[in-house]
Amino acid sequence: MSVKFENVSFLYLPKTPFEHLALDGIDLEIKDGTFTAIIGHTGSGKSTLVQHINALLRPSKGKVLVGDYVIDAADKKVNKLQELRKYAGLVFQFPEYQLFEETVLKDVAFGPKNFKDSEQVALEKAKKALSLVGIEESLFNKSPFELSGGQKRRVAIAGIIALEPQILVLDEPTAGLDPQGAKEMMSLFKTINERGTTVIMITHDMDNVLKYCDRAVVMKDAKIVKIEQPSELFKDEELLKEISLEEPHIISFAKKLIANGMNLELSEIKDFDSLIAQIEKARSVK
Amino acid sequence: MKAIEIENLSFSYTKDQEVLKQLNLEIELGSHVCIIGHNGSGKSTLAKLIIGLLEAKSGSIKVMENEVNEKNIHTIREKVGIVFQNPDNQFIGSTVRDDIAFGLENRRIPQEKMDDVIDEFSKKVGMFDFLDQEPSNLSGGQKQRVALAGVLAMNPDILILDEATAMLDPKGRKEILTLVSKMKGDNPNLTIISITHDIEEAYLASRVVVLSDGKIMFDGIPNEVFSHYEELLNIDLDIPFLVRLKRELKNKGIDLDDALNEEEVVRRLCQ
Amino acid sequence: MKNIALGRYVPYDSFLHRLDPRTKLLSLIALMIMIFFKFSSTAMNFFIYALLLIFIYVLMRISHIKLKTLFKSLKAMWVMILFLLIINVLMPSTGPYFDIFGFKLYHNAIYNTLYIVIRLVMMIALTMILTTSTKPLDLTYALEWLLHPLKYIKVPVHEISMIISLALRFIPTLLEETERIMKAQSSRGVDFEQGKLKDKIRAIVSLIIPLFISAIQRSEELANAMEARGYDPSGQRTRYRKMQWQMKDALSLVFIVLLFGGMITLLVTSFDFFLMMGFVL
Repeated sequence: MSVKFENVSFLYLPKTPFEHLALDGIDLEIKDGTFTAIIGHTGSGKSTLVQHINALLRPSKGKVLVGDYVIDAADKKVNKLQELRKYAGLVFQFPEYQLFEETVLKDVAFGPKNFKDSEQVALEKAKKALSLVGIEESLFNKSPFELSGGQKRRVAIAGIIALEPQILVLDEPTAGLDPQGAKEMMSLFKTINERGTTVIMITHDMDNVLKYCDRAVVMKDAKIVKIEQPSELFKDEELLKEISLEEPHIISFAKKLIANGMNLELSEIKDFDSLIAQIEKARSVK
Repeated sequence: MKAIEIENLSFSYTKDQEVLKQLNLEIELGSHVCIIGHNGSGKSTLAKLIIGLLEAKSGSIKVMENEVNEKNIHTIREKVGIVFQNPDNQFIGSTVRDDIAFGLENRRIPQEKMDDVIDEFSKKVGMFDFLDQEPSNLSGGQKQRVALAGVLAMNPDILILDEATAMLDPKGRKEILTLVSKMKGDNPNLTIISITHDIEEAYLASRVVVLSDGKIMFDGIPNEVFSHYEELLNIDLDIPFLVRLKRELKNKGIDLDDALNEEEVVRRLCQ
Repeated sequence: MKNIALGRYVPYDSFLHRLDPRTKLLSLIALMIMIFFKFSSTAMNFFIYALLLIFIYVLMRISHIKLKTLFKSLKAMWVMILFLLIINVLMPSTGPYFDIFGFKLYHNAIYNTLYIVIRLVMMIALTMILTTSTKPLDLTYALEWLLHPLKYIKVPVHEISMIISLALRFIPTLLEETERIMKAQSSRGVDFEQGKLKDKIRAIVSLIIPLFISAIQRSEELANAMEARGYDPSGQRTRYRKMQWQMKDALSLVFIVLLFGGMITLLVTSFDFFLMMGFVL
């Protein structure tokens, strides 16, 4: 029970002047209950990769296994496609653009209803999801279009959480949010992850990768170049340079300290607090 | 002469909610000011008022001594250029070339001169090799560079960046910021007003204005403004890395308040 | 989604690509008129059609359009052609006919259907030649130039042309957006392909509303960006893209005029080459 890519390639717009290889021989396994980051530059194939997980895109070659579901390039149809999409929920970039119902509550219940939940069950799930993302009850019956940008984002994400997926896939969920909103969003995903849901997240924010994720999948030119624990990843100077990845500020700062002779354990630094703790420890030893 | 003089400016979209409340602000010619504030603090509204896309309810705005009103609107827009947030929605031409030309056409620049201007400014933003590309083939960062070229080609005295980097990836963001500081280096008289979420960008500006609830909460040099640590966190703003670091270290009994930059902090920590 | 637009501009550097868009637009109009000429005899009609088809085929070759592409776009029209044939067959007519088990299938019915089909093919081929060899924006400019005289009867020609060029600019953006919203809603369990009518309507609604809302927001931001850059629809503007008549345009137009003139002469004099040779179809 995990997500598994077996030699997956994806040809974008085949037989047209725009044809190009968006995924090239991807092998990847993501274990249940993990929090995985997919990183790499725009156009490296990250979005294409995650859209294979709920079969929005189908491999041109190879096989994707998601739980018990199989998406095989050789098969014409995906078996139990609807079930798969409930099992692996995907939140698109700028998901607030998918809102359309008259009220917040109805919009969140839209997904569960499509997956054949009764009206009542769907509304229950919607309420639960909304309270999880921190939307107050007083907003439930408002039009989603009256909300602020950050609130819209939360409602849209609740729309997927309400499906109660086993795997939650997020495409740059914090893009365009203000810093505080982004922080709250990230701790929400952490909570969901701790309840047992596998979280797979595309992001450009390396601070978040370091702080929240247990693994980072690095993509470049349609290929995976590295799969690594974030703290190890940022030690690999050569790789960072090769993919011109900007390391988190706390890491570059810690590296400067180390270069100046301070004895820090880089793998222990995950966020601001652990950086301070490490500095304190190093100084007290001295 | 001041670049911008704002007096008692109020504005509201709906009757019951004032977005800007009796705002007063002066911006010197040639300065680089960052305006920060949480979503809904009124910072983008302020930008739209300055270039006359919105009309003030009360109070006045002067751009280089020209009152912003219907009569002066052409003068104002000759002096102020603005780059907006969404790269797609400000790309007007069908190619990079046509997009830069759009502003020149409005300005009635003779056609024979346009190619030189287009070449010059596309080179400045590093888009010369993409002149005949359509927007759908460009990245967000590239589109914003074109927007910047289009605005700068009209030779404005004041450049407003209205969250121009908010929708870009880190690479695109960095490119735009580097470009803007290069422009400023080439033309020190250019006044830059950057409305931003990017706290590290604000930390590098010469002046930071914090908007909250339609009013100015803090206004000064970055170090001074960001010393109001708790108040800023309270209005959902972030704190620059160095400020936060010094603060946290001080709490642990390591006082580096007078360290000027990151290098000095590193040096003194490792002593 | 991006490959749906048949006949979209393909950047080659052919003779037709280099012609001034005005030349191409005027020639297209002239040729479209010629297609509908009816000459004095059936044989004459087919003879002229054959000439035109050869001419059009040559143009297609020059502009790098494959016959296959043309047939692909004709595919959708088989039903219509069949329908036309049936209507024509059922229409009472005169003249010679085939007797099929007592049913009179007039020759004229067949000819009339053929005429329509040939005209359709030619119209589509010509439009395709124009659109694959001319950038949409250039076409807009040509159209604006052509409609220019209407300005004097207060038709907002410039505004219309600006609207068209902005619409063209945003077609790819909106297609991308459509695809994205469809995928987002599919992730929420919407099935755009199957389902009952009620489900289908819901699916469309879940696509249309977000699309409209984002289009409205886009247009507002676009209007702001245009205004901020000094655009004033009623004001004077200079123009970056100047269309330039060249020798090849003049020659092409002369050729088209001669062709047109020749056709008119044939038409007016009821000239029938075949009749002269004693051949009647």
